Amino acid sequence: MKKSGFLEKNQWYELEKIVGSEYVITDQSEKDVQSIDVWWMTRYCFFQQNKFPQPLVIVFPENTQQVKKIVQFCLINKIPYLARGGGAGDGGGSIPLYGGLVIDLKRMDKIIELNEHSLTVRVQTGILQKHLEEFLNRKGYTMNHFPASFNTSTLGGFISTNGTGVLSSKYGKMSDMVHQLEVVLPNGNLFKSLPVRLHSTGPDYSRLFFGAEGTLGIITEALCKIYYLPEKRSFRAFLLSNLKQGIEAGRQIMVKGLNPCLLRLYDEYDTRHILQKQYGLEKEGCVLIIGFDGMKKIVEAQEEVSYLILEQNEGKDLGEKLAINWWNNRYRSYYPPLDYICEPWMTAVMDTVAPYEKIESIYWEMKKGVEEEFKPWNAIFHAHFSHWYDWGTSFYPTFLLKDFPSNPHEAIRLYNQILDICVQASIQNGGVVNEHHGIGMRFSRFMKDFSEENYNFSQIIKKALDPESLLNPGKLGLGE
Amino acid sequence: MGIDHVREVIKNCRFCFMCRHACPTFLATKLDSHTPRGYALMLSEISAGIRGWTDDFVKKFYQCSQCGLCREDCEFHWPEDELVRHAREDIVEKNREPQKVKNVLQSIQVTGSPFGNDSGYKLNSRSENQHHPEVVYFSGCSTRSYHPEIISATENLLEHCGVNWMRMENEECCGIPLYDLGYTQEAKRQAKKTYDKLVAIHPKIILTGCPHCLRNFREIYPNWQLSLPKDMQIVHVTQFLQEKILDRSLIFHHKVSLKLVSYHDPCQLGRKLGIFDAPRFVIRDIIGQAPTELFHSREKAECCGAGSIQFFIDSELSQKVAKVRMNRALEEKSQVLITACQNCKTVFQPFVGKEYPSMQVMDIVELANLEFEGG
Repeated sequence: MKKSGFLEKNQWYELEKIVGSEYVITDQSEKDVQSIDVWWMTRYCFFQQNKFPQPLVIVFPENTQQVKKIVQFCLINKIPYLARGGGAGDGGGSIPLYGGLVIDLKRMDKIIELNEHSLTVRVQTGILQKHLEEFLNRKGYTMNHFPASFNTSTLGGFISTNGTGVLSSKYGKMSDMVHQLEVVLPNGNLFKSLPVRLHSTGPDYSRLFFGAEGTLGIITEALCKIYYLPEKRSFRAFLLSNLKQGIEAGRQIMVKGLNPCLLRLYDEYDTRHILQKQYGLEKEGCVLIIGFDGMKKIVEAQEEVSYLILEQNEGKDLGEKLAINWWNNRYRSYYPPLDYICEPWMTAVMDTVAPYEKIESIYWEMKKGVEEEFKPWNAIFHAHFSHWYDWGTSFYPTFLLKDFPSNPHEAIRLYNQILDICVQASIQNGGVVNEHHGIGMRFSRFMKDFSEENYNFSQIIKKALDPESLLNPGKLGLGE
Repeated sequence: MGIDHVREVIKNCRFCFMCRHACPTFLATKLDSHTPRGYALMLSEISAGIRGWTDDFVKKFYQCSQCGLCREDCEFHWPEDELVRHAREDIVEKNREPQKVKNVLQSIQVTGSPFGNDSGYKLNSRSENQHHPEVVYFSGCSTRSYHPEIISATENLLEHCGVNWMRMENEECCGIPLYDLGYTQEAKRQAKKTYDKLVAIHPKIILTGCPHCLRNFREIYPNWQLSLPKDMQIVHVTQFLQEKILDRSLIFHHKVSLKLVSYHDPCQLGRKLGIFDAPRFVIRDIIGQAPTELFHSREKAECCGAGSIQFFIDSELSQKVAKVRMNRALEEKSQVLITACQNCKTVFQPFVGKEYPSMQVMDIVELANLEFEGG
């Protein structure tokens, strides 16, 4: 697909007629900064001064009708295009691999309707989650979605990766948080799901777009669940001597329906790396931070039973201070210089989810694979388990190489070899990479390995909706 | 000078998106190239020789109001506003600054003001040169050029306070616009002129209503070995009024009955100099109640868009930024928006009577002056 060279100024005029001339951007500066996300590959290309994919033009619509017209324009002119929200993914999902047109949705940030009776909010999806939450908080509500990229990512981006936040153990993933979607399809038509989610009036087709990473349509509006701000929110930390105990304690708490809003279990490295270094913990082991929220009486009952389970699993109560301190500073790790991304190191997070009986073996397989196979490069592997369900849990396996080959081909080969080891460890042990960061380009090549049947089905859907593969091609193993 | 001074900031900020949500310019344009990350990434490219100072890149660097909200919002307070200023030094060194920016330099060199000959707010009879007055009222260039009403109001208040005051007949730019625009050497030269004049008069108090001049006198002059003598206080008009209220030289009888009054924190006065309480104290004393707080106030107040004389360099953009802040006032149903910086008033004022028909915008000295006008 090499269709990106012909977009001439007369065609930009057509776009200007749709969104206004000031919202059709061809500045090199904007193209440059939109072409790099936080994926190691885009940053590495930047360090190597290699060329990386850039759009020809970036347009900023302000409503669904404009998005429809832009999509129709792309369809008529056979121009590849993609929708961009915050652009802060770590897998290249919003990188314009084939150039073309980027539809930046951040002007679509209007809050359309707050329903204080059924507790919903209808929003344009270009709104930054932080701004949506600020609006809700001022009215006494919250969406309870607090991922690491809370400050910077858009609601549409979170829906597109089926994201989760730190309170997901109680409030779920994006697919649990949204009732209704409006989507501009690649044929230029509009899709709107039924006004309620839990129906049996045929399948809930909106589910197609959660985790589709903008390959099947452009999500323009969402009706989201909201909650009252909690009467009480509590946090407490426990020290466990190993991961096994921590996973078992977490499992018991989840399967017994104790509904913690927060459950985070750090492996020994992350306990040192994060909780000792940043929060002043002086103990060794695996720390588990647990939190509850809601009505005070219910929270107190949940705390009592859960703390007992932790004690029965030999968890030592570290009190509230460390846990509250973590909650209050939960985004601090993602700022430089604490975040790895400011350094020219090779790193990746490969969020992985699996049933309880499988998750620990995946962790050890990955750790062994990274640290033994790549010992000559002093590879470091660490993880924490942050999103828990009543059937399993997920963890953030992270590898770090401070030194790696200076030859770009060798470096990129090494990076992909590490991904291979980790992804295969997950597949062979019944897990799934990834849990919520998205596939993008980074894991695109594994889509068939994850499940050939699932991959084949996704190809059928893609072909039906976007036969010419113009929408966000090259992601999720689609439209290559 | 230049990019070398901000290598650490570039390294740390170029891939970090965390403060984008706060950047007032981004909120108005939604362009990533207007964000701290965008600036750091572009400078990284320029340092590496991937890109040069094209008109596009230069323009972006002159569209930041240097309000410092990104620095405040950042967990590690990386000084992105300083990064932009150092980049501008580099642009100036390479003679790539936009013509409008060059015009500011030329104007200061020829007329002593960035805005040319001020339509000449004339000194009144009390403004004649005196020897060692208690107060020198340094009005500032943009107040002289655009807001004679603020000067009148301040002078009236000085009269009511019964202090011995004067304005300098030959008041020129303090130098801060040049500093903000990357003309550091020229700024120092301009600063020296103003410094010499102030030292020669040697008042007890240098009073200004311009937070930019205030910051320059207090924080930047000392960096240039131009520390004003310790027996000369440098105060903002809100601090001065607070002191006069406290010592009962100035008494308000709450004649001013305004409702739904909000206060907008100017960036230089608030975030950069930490003066948050004096204006609130003064407003409360005038109207008998605390002003309504806008969402995002004090350290986290969003810029009005005028900073770094954006209202003059790129008025279209500064109006867009101002609108975001005006909407904060609208959210609070404010009928009167008070500020303590003339440049905020400059960018807020055009909205009054149009999109915001029931809102008034005034400087804090105008509010105070209503008491004595029977308002």
